[in-house]
Amino acid sequence: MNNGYLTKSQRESITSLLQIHTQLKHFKTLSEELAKGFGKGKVIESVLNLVDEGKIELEEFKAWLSLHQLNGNNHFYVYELRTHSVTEGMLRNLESQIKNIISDITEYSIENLQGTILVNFVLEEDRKRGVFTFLSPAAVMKKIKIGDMVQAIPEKQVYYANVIVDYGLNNIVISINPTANMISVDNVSKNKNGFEPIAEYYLTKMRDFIGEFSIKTPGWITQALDLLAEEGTHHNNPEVTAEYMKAIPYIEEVVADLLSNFELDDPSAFAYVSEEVKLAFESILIDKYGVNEEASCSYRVFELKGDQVNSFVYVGAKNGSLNEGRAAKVAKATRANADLTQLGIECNRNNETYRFYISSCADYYLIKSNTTKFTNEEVIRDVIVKLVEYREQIQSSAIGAQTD
Amino acid sequence: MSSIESKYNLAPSVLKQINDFIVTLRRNDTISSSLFARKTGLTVEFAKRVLGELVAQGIMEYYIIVPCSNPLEDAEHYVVFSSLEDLNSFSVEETCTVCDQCGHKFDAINAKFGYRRHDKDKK
Repeated sequence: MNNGYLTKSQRESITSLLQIHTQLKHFKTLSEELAKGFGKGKVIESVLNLVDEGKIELEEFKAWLSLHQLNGNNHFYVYELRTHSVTEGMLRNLESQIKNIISDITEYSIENLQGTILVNFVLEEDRKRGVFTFLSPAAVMKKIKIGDMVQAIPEKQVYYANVIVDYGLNNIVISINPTANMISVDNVSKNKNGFEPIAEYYLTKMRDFIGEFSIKTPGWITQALDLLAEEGTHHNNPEVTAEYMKAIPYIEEVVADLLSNFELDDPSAFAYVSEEVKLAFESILIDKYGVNEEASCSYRVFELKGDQVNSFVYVGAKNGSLNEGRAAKVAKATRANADLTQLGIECNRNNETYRFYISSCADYYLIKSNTTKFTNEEVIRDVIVKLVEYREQIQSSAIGAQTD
Repeated sequence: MSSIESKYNLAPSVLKQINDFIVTLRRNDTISSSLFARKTGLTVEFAKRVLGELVAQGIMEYYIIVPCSNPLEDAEHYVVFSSLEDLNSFSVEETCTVCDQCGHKFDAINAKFGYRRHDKDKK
């Protein structure tokens, strides 16, 4: 049935987009009832019928169609702006001017999409951010079975990207899907760092809309990861703290005696041995008195990677988190002597458990799920907010900020 | 250390913190500028300048480690240079000799600087 809202070609284009990119859970934000439907094909048909019948406003539907891909299983590339060059006023002005260049998302399919187009812009004043949605032509490698043989052939696909310009947190977040077997997006190929060139492509694209801006290397991120790891693995047990504080002078005395007996009087030897003994002793105290789970941080750490320039250490917990046991001790020693380049964290939101990695990279930090679990963007945003809180804490106390 | 104090007008307590950290480094301990920043309470950018000064004074030494561009996670290999001159004279067209068969070039863009205590006994 078509009573005039959507043409046949619009229905085909939308159906193709939804079939490729949309999961049943995505429909929840449009209609709880629809999302319970059986089979994606039927749900899509029902949605399009509701739009045709005017039960879902066409403009509301277009906004949903643009923004729904923010949720799901994306990689979030977070770039920090050097100056506060983006303001609410600037985005509000843009909102009134940009309408002429926004393309109608329902009109495009892989048949007629020649290059990257902007299909939506929304200013979310309550979250102090603007969200830009782009569609781009992409190429993926598809495996096709011919008889007993499997052959890989390149296939065209429409690719979604959402770019969040956050003037509250002063960063730009590129949210893109790590599509399997992706070859290129608008002729930009992946490299050894995965989708990084594609994220950079969209970052550069933003200059067409918000003008010139410069990105600041997030030098604070390794320290922020350390603080998050410390908070996420801390025992929070005052008994452990009290006993540990009592033990420190004994440990230092014993270590000093031991080293002196062997004529090892270098301060680095004392620092090295006493650090190891203190860590081992604290670990034993945690075994005895336990971790206070109730006081724990809402994030738990299940894995970390420490980079000591000429060496690296991977530590992980297969079940649970890195707050007790031998692995926890190794993790703590790693944090003390290396930069964290990757942190695996777990959190619970609305009775769901989410696991993702935060990686520090040259010009940005990356947050990505370590599963294919459907993740609402809000869960990721909470992590970014937490990291920005650490950033403020680090930058307000560090010496040399005035000389940078 | 005194030239750092005068050049950057650092408080004695900051200087002490820098010194206390350096003396805890073992011969084989390598640090990055960000680890140095974390341990001494400096910003990363400022830590880089202080480390440069410590190298100039012969207290620390640096080296540069460059990964090959093998796209497989944790399958990259490294080549080490003891000075910027050595790095500059190295051709990035050279391929990694460890992953011989894949023949990936070295990725100078992702080079890392490591710092360690200057080993005065080294020949």
